[in-house]
Amino acid sequence: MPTRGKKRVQIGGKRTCFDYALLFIIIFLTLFGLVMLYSASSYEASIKGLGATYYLKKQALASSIGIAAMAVVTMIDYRVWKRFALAGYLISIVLILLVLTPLGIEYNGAKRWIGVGSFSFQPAEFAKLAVIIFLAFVISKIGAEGLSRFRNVVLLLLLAGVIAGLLAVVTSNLSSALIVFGIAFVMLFVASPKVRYFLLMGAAGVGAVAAFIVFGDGFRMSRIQAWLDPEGSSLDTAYQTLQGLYAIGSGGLTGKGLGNSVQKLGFVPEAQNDFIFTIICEELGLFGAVSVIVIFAFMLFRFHAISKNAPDLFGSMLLVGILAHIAIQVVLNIAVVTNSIPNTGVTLPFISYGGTSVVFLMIEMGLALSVSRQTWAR
Amino acid sequence: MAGNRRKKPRFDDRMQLRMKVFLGVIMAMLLALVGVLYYIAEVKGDDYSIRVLNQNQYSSTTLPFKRGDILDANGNILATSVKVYNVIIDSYIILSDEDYMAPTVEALAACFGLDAAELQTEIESRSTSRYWSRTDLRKLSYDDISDFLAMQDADSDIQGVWFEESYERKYPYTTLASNTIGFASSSNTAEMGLEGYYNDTLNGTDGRSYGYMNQDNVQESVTIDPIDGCSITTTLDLNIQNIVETKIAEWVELYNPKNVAVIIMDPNTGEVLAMAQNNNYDPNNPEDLSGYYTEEEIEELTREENVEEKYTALYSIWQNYCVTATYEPGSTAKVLTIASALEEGMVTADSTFECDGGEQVANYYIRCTSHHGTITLTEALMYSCNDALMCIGDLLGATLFSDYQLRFNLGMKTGIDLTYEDAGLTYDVENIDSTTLATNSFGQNFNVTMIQMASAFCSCINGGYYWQPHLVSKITNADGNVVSTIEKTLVKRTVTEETSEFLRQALEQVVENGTGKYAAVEGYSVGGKTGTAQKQDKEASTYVLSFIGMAPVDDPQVVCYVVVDEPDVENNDSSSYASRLWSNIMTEVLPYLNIYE
Repeated sequence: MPTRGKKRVQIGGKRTCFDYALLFIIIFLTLFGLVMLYSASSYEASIKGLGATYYLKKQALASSIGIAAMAVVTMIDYRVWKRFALAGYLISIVLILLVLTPLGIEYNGAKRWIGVGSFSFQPAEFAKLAVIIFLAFVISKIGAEGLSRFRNVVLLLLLAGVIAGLLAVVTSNLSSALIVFGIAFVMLFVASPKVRYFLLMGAAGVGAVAAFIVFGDGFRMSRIQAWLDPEGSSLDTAYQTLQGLYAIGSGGLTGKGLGNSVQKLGFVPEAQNDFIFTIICEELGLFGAVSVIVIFAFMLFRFHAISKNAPDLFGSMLLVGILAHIAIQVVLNIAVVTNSIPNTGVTLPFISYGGTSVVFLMIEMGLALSVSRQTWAR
Repeated sequence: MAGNRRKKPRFDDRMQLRMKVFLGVIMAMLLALVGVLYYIAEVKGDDYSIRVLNQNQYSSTTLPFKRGDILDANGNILATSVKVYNVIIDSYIILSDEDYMAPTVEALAACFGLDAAELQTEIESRSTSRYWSRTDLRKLSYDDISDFLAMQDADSDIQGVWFEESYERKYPYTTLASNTIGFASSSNTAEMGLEGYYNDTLNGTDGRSYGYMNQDNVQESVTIDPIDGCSITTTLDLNIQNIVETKIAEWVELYNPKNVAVIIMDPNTGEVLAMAQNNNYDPNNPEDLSGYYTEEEIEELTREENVEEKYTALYSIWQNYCVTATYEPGSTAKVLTIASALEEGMVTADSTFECDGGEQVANYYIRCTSHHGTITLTEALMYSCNDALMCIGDLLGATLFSDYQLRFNLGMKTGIDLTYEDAGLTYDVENIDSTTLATNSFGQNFNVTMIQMASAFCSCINGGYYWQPHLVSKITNADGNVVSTIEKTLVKRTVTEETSEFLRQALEQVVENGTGKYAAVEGYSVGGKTGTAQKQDKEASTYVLSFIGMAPVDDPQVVCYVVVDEPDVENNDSSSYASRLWSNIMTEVLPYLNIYE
């Protein structure tokens, strides 16, 4: 059966299905991200006296490191990482706990970084990658048969839940915790033959979220209020949401043109971070925004294709995890900026500012490309 | 190594299906989000675009103009606008960098005597507010804020605090001439007094400073300077006004009248040199009722539902008695009746009149103050004989009498440059019956304002020239250039030089040998006429006492008109309460004006 959409390349006399389409999408999104990042951040950077290209330079450096890392990971056979699966899981726990030590860095009131000197690192990004590799490894070991036992499913969810819980409690990074748990849930949902466990757990999850909202503390309650009525709220996040909505709305169908956003001039706070999508909407309009969504959708289809043709279950499950990661983050980010869900800080992959995020995303992309590279044309 | 081949797990069809399901759910979500984006862009787009435009005007600030000054004739400042500063705090900027909070709060606390911790809590509680100020940090002078400005220059971590300029109206002499000057609100609106009449002249045009982004994303700013208002120089003389008000205060202390008001004019120009009354207020704080009401009454008045009563009370305090109050002038009007009869040749200086203590007019017997016997025209004035005046009124007849009231501008506004001037109340010619004519002839039964009487009197003694009464002589713009000078304006001729000459001599006799002897000023030749007008409520038997006079007699340089309304004394119909006050005032004013005999 010929595989669709893949060029066949000779490696060592064999033909592989290396996914050039995915590589192209990755490079395109990275460059597009840098352009938008410069547009969104130059004003705020110059106002702060950092120089207009401050954020661009830092992100370009991180992207370069990330692409180099991606190239290396692509060249390495992905099966090698099975050996590090458990170690990676444990290291991510250690890294999260390091936030509590003097190595921890606080920024904007949250302790989410560790670092030495000018180098800083966000353990959450590492944890996402570690959970994907760890679960892919375990699932590939026990297979569908092992996952037909409810106990195993719960056990694996709990193992992912440990990381998610630590992220939520130690770094008070609820959105990263949600993403980690979401990735695990999707991977197990795909792998386990018992669909009713997940329907049950899904229902329980919805119930838990509802209970959380109803019986949650005042801070969360006010966030819900801010979500329902951003104009009537005094929360910073409501202000940010509202300004984001103004940006999207004022962009119209074709936008104000690249670089012409008004909302980035101090109105959307830190426009280069979580709310960069609103600046894309304002400058490139609905047309540009839908184009970006289509590119992400295309990327997800590439992951799907690679996973389907992967040489083994480990490779397939890696791709499922990566697909889940990108899909969840893109959907959550756009849902937040359109005020479809309450404001939880989720970055837009490849485009939002964030060094650690881009490096580990690139490593994930390297893994995906590595799987495609190890897929032999049949 | 891979274990049992049969058992080797693979990515089977069911897993692939599950993955397709997940992918399908994600695609559905993305499609829904595209729908949401379309909704925001299309349905809310216009609304949000307008908000974005509105937000950007935040960078535009108004630069307030300075309202012009009000000066007295010698350049003393009666009203001025002083630049004040409101402290505006931008929490967003202070919270944008953790280095800012401590130095900023400390500087604010040190310079303005605030509690640093409390201030920090306040800043944090208004974390998104980019524009707020504390009520105790408003209307500060430059001296108040100069320490902070110095600290701000020295420490770049002091951020998010700036000063908004505005002007505050100040009246350095507080109550002095307050009812004549009026007051302006903080928004530069005014309706009372000179402030009200010259509001448009005193006001300027606001300037504006706004910023915008140029094509290179650089903030550009444009400043349109405000145009400050014009200043007005009044004819008021601070020293004369002060003398008058001091004397009025003494009089209030002694006799506690309802109203005492005084106008001093230059009879040769119509310029008002002083315009004063006992009921005044501090225009720096015009809504303060404490001088007139008890605390309980004020509490009652300041309640929401009593806002109408409160303003009725305030307007009665703000009113300028000299132009807004009307009353029956009484015997001072006899000067005008005699002037009219002389003009028309109905009487001459040699005419004599028979006074038998009263006269029967229609159904009424109208009494004179005593049996004057056979008296001359001058004596009729000297003894203020009602009988003689009724006779003169009869000689004139209703038509001529009414003509002369109009000629003396009674029943019409004088057009003085003050707001809320009253026109007084006189009879139309067709309504003047014999009783009305008789009572009108000696100044009862019609209403005048003080400025009407003073202006008419000036024309009687200055040779017959009715000069436009006015308070402003010069308007200068903010650069000090004269925009316009207000010269004396002849409104009309009222009487001839001869009539005027006779009246001056007769009025001198009133003071020297007649009813006005209390008005005498030692060392000066003065002339004038008393007035004792019974108020309409005859039962209560209350009087408006007055004296109008001039000095020196040969060439009058100053006219002074004193009205004392209902003094709290036993013989409350004695015009001496007005003439003695007149004398007290003129004793000091005449030397001040360098008028010597």
